[in-house]
Amino acid sequence: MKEYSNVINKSDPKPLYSQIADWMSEKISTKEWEKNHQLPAEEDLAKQLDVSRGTLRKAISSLIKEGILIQIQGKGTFVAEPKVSHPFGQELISFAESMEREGINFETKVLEKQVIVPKASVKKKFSLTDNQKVLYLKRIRLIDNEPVIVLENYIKVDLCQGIEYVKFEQMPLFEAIEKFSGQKISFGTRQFEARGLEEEQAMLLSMPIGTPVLYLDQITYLDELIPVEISQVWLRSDKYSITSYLQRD
Amino acid sequence: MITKSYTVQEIASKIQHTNVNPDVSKEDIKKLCEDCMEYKFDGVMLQPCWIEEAKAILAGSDVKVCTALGFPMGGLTTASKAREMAEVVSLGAEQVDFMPNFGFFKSGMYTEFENEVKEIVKAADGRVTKIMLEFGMLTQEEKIQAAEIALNAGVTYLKNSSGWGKGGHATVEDIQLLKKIAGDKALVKASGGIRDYESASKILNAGAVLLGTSAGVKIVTGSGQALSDY
Repeated sequence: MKEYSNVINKSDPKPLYSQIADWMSEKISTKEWEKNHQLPAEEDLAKQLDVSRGTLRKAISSLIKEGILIQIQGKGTFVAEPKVSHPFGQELISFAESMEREGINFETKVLEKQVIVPKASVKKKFSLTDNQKVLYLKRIRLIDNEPVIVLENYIKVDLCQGIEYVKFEQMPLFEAIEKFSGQKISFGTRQFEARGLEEEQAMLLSMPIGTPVLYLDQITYLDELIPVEISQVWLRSDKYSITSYLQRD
Repeated sequence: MITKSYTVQEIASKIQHTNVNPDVSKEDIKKLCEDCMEYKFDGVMLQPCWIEEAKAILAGSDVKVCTALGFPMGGLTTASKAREMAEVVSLGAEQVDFMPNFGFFKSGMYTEFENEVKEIVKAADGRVTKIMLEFGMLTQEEKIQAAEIALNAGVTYLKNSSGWGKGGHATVEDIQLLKKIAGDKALVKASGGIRDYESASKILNAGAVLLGTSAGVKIVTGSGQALSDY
């Protein structure tokens, strides 16, 4: 009856429910429980684990929150379909938002932040007048102290007055743009290319010149088709993958 | 920007009539509360020792009893502030304006600064909280950073200043900045130097929904004296 009673170690300081949740996650990751696998009835499983139903429910609900299990009213609890990893290729979310969603701890370093009259190529993309200024930002993102992304952004300051005073170590850029423009970002375009690292980016990413990375060119728009930000991003493709989930109608 | 013109009565309904002077007397508190009822101010703002007195005078009226916590220096320990909050809540304070610890903030101890704000908000047990951001002491970058931290810690209102000491006066630019940061997650209270109808009207147009001032009567009647420099 208590066939799973060795799952729980009562002398372990870890709460019982989280021991159970770990055990279930393990069964799912080893495919012993495949997607759509139905879990035994709560009452039976609680008996087999030799825990109260309340403890078991807490374990299940923590995995439901993580999207690992799903519960269907009147039918039971099932292993959920695995999620798409990085929806960055299909949804307009920032890197920070995408990493936060994935629960990845990252750090942002601001290398440069200044209001400038930008170079001609940026002026052209933005259709700026001759002396129109932008906020230029150069940042790197680190995961586990390792630099993985270099970002250069140009933001139209006249649309987001005061944004130059934001500490971008703390506030994600998209959030700052929405706050300081008082408008919602409506959409953006992203163009992906494979590129070899040039000297400056190679130095920042601590990788040899010419290492292949993913490069992307982005334009972000406010409502009414007003471009507010353009950026150039270099991503270490060995560390960061981008997934698009495409559905055929 | 579209400028709204406010009636005197509309402005009165946004005023938290304030006297937090150290030498305020019981008689002054009585007058302060009576003025609130007469001019239909939103609330009365006084030191914690006068909460019960004000509750008794204002019983049955719509005037809110509000108090200032950790005031004016903000250097109490976090535990003291949390206890003070629990006490003013039990005495019946409906809204509490509090001083965070700018010593922590200026030392780069942002975690301690934020944790204290969270403790204070938690101890308020659902009451309206307003953080006094003492913009007079902060650089433009620090203003944004402190307001962001406060917003994330769950305060109800961002307030530019206590109006005391180096806290500074309300400016249209600062109130617009707070409004931008607050978005729809918090409200904005302005204080410091709001002493007549015109300045009150400008500050409301900039995005504040409450005004802390000791010149409430002067603002609505156009005459009389402010109770302090606040």
